[in-house]
Amino acid sequence: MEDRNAETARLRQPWRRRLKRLNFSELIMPGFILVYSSIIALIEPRFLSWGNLDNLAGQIAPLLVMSVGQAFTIISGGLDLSMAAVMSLSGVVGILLVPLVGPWGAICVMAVFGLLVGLVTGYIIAYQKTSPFIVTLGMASVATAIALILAHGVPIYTVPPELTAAIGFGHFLGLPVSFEIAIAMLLLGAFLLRRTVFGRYVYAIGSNKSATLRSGVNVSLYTMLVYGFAGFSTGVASIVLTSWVGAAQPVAEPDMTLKSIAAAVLGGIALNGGSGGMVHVLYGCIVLGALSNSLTLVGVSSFYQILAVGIVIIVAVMLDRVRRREIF
Amino acid sequence: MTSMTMESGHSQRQVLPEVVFLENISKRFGSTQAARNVSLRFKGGEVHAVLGENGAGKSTIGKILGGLVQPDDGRIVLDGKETRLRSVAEARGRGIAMVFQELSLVPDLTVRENIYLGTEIARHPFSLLRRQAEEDRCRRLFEEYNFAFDLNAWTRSLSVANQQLIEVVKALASDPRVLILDEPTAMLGVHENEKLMGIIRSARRQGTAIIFITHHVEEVVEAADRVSLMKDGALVESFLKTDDIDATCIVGKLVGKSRSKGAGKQAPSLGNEALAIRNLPGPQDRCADLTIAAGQVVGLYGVVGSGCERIGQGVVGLADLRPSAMTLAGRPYRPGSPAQAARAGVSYLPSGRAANCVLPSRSTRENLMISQLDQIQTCGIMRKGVERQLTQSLLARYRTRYASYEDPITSLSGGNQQKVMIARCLGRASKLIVLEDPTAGVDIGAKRDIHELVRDRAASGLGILLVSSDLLETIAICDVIYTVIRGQIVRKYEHPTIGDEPSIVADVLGG
Repeated sequence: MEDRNAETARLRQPWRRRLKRLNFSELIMPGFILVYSSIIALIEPRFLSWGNLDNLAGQIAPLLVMSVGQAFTIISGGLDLSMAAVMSLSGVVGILLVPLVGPWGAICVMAVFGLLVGLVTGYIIAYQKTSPFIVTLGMASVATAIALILAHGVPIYTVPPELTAAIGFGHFLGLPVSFEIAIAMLLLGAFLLRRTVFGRYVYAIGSNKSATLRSGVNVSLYTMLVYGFAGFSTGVASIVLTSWVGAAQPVAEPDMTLKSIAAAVLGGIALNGGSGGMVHVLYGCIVLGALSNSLTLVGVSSFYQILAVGIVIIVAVMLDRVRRREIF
Repeated sequence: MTSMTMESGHSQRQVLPEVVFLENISKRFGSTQAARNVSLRFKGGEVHAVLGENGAGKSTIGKILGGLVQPDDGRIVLDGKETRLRSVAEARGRGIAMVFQELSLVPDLTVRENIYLGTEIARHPFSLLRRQAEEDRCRRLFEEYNFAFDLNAWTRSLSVANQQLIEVVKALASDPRVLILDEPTAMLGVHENEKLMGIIRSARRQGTAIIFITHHVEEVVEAADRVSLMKDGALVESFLKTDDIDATCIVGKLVGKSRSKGAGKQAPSLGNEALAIRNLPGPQDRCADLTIAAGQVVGLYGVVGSGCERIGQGVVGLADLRPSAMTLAGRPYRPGSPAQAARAGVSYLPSGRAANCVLPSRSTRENLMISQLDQIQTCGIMRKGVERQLTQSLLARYRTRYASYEDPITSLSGGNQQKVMIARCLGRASKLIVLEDPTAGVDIGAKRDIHELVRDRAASGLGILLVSSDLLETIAICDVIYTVIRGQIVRKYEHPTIGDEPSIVADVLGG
């Protein structure tokens, strides 16, 4: 008993607890980022210049925001293949409504619209007991089609200059505002996962859905909320992306969905759910962002960049396997 | 049941050849000593029953011989030569076939395809399957064992009982010299049971050594030539089953001296009615009621597939019990999900720890707290300090041994994981607790602890519904037992004792 009290006293100190849980596999990604950055910096010192890092932060912001939501679906044991399509649609809807609600109203519309679409998707998955894979794939088609119809198939360039100035290219305290929004989303995600009942249930559902159901958790409700939150992060991503690009495209960045899944898994979130956190999302996005940024700087053709990203993702999934080899 | 008794071979018994000799086998799983210096001889043409409670180590013996588990210590002597069986394939190569407790047929293949799965006549990856040859051999096999089935039926279209029989025939398809049956009758009805006995009889006539692992005494009486009793991983006794040995005699040898007194039943001081289920299907198309008073432990007992699990699941909202109606503490109660049941004060411990209870990637703390979160949150935000205190107090109250509750729950032994599950379930309920197989796969010490904890919780004024496949456990901790067959309540036993066992067994087998 004595021992146990001492043990809990020690565990109560957060940094000790954190340190105790750190193990080798947790250090792979930050280690990789450090080593990779050092190598690139040796070849091309501009990589670590403030200007480039500022640029990099802006580049990864939309992906980071989306990956926060994607991480929730993956931790809960599902995934969302409709994110990029819903992002484009909420961008189009928001910008089309600017004349009605004004620029700041428009960004609220985008976030709320994403949330609503996510809740609908979540409702179908959770209450109609369907597979997230198929439902979100269908939802991707539906959202793309509606976006194309609303925008008549062409990008809408009437993005209010306030948004471009404030969010797309604005800086606050020396950092890009878009990146700060992404960090705020990460913090929100971390808070939800670690400190709320919702977060606890997200892990539980991903770890063993049947057990969670049987221990008296309203699994359907929380599954719906997971996709609702993913939709919300899609909406926020559309704010960031639209302001940055200066246009609402009906098909904007279609491969961002898969990149968000790749970022989550690359960072260390288990593809079959139940573990991982926001820090892993950050790692994954930094690796993917740094990879294409640095290869451009070094002068590698974009064809080879795509190749490199693909290889990194495959290696990451194999790493995921190794990390979990005890489970098979 | 006597109609099924094996033709007695003892009178003309000649000296049977010894096929396998297990010498001083020991095996430990984590903190559980599953087998302790067990020595057994198995002879060709003999049905050797290995009998014991759940967790007595009998399945471990079967698994060691079947190549699934490697012994820590001891020798396996096959035909006079010491052998090591490192895998199921190796054991099968030596002529040892095993039928597992869990079904392992592929539902989307036909009966014939399943029988030859892995032992196809043509063995190269791209050679054509010899359908006709397989079919012919299947036919012959079926004739040999006097067994009739459509070879080309989809396996999924067959009842679980028939699938189980096909599993046995599949094991016999390779002409094994040793056949291990691990609880083969768990899913069988009376009719299939008779068929199984027929198959066993044929295999025995052909000189196969048959190892029959079971915890049903009456099957032993019916089928065995030799009986070995196991308890807590050790061999208690091994004897020839002569005609003067009957069920009571065997039960006496097995449990007589070993009744766990730990979970002694207190004189029940019954409170108000906790749960009542009216209009359950009863005997002869009449209706039966089931009532649980506060402070009472009520057991439902039936063989697997008898429908008693369904009643338990209905109480927690996982099955629809209509047209039966339930009242909880006097108020109408119809839960649609375990979440609704939980809100009404009913908590649930499902069977199947790995599949239905444990969150494998999460810590002991999170596993325990998953159903207590309403006590440790304000507005959806958790209060970590309160959570830690509650975790500690629950783990201590439920006598769990752990290094740190922040470690993954999978670092605990099976028995301790089960105690965490018990704590999760018992810690929350306010009116009723539904327990399914609460001590499956735990060692004897943990089992005794769990029985006590359940009785204590009942004494604190809750109703408890126990659905266990372990009859001895059900008798040991229940105040009332209802027996169930084919979804119907057969009989009610108040204050059951071990003397009721034969009658209960007869009820659930439809005898």
